Amino acid sequence: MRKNENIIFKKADIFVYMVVIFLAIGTAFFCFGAKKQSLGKPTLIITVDGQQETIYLTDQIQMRVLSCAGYTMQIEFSSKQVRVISCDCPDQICVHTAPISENEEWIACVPAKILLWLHFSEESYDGIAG
Amino acid sequence: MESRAKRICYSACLVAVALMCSYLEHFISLTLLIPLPGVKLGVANLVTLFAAKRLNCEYAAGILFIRIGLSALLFGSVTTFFFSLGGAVFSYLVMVVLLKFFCGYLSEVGISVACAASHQIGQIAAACILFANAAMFRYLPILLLVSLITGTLVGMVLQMLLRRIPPMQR
Repeated sequence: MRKNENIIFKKADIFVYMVVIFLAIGTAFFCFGAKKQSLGKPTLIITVDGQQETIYLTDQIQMRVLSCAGYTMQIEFSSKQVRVISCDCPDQICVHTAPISENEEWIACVPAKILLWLHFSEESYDGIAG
Repeated sequence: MESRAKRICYSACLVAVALMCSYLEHFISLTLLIPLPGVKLGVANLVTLFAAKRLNCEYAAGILFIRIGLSALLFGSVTTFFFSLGGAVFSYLVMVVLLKFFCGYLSEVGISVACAASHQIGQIAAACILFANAAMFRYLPILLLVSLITGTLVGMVLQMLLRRIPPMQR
C-alpha cells in the first residue's frame, strides 16, 4: 500500500510564520528608519582584525588590497559603490555579496576578519581637513 | 547498552552526512541568487533536526557541535567556527524548547522555520560581536524572510525523510 506522501502542516505553524514576519518587519523598521536621518558624505569604514580605518569616498575609483588572517582581499571603491573584486577566503561569501552603495550597508568576510562598512557621515570634508 | 552503542554509530553516520551537506552547500551557494551575506539553504540543519526527532536532543547537540568543529577545521577557520557557533547555539536552543513544549502543536515545517530564523539571528548577533558593529543587523529583515523559504523547504524534506527512513532497530 502506498503511504501518504503529502506534507503535513499544523495550525500552530502559522504562528511561527507570523512571528518571523513580525520580527522581519520590526527589524526593518528599526534598521531602515535610521537610514533617512543622515545623508551626508559617503565614508568607507574598513575594519581589519579590529583596527578601523576611515576613507572619505570621492568620484574617483580607487583600489586597495587588504590582508588579514592569512587571506588577501582586493576591493574597489568610489562614492558610487564599494565592492570586493577578489578574496582568497574559502567560502567566497564576500565576493558574491552585491556591491554596496547605501548608508549603513556592509560587506563582511568572516574568515579574513574584514568588514567594509559604508556610512554617510554628516561631518564635512573641510572640517576633517582642518 | 547495545542500544546506546547503536545510537552512537547512528550519530557518527549522521555527523558524516551533515559534514558532507555542509561541504556541498559551498557549491550551491544561494548568494548567487540573493547576493546577501549569510544566505544559505541550511541543508546541514536538516541532519540536526532529523537526529533530534529520531534520537534525542542530546545526540542532536553532539552531532551539531562535532559537525561545526570539523567543518571549521577542514573548510574554515577559528573565526568561522565562532560565527557558526552563534547561529547553531541559538537555533539549537529554539529547537529544544519547541520540541519539548510545542511538539504536538507544530509540524516539522514549523519547527524548521523557527530554527532557520533563529539561526540567522544568532549568526548576525555573532557577527555584531565579532566586528563590534551593530550595522550588521541591517540585513536581518531580508535574511529572516529568506529563512521562511529555506526553513519551509528543509521542513518538507525532513517530513519526507522521517517517513521514508525507518526508525533505528533496538
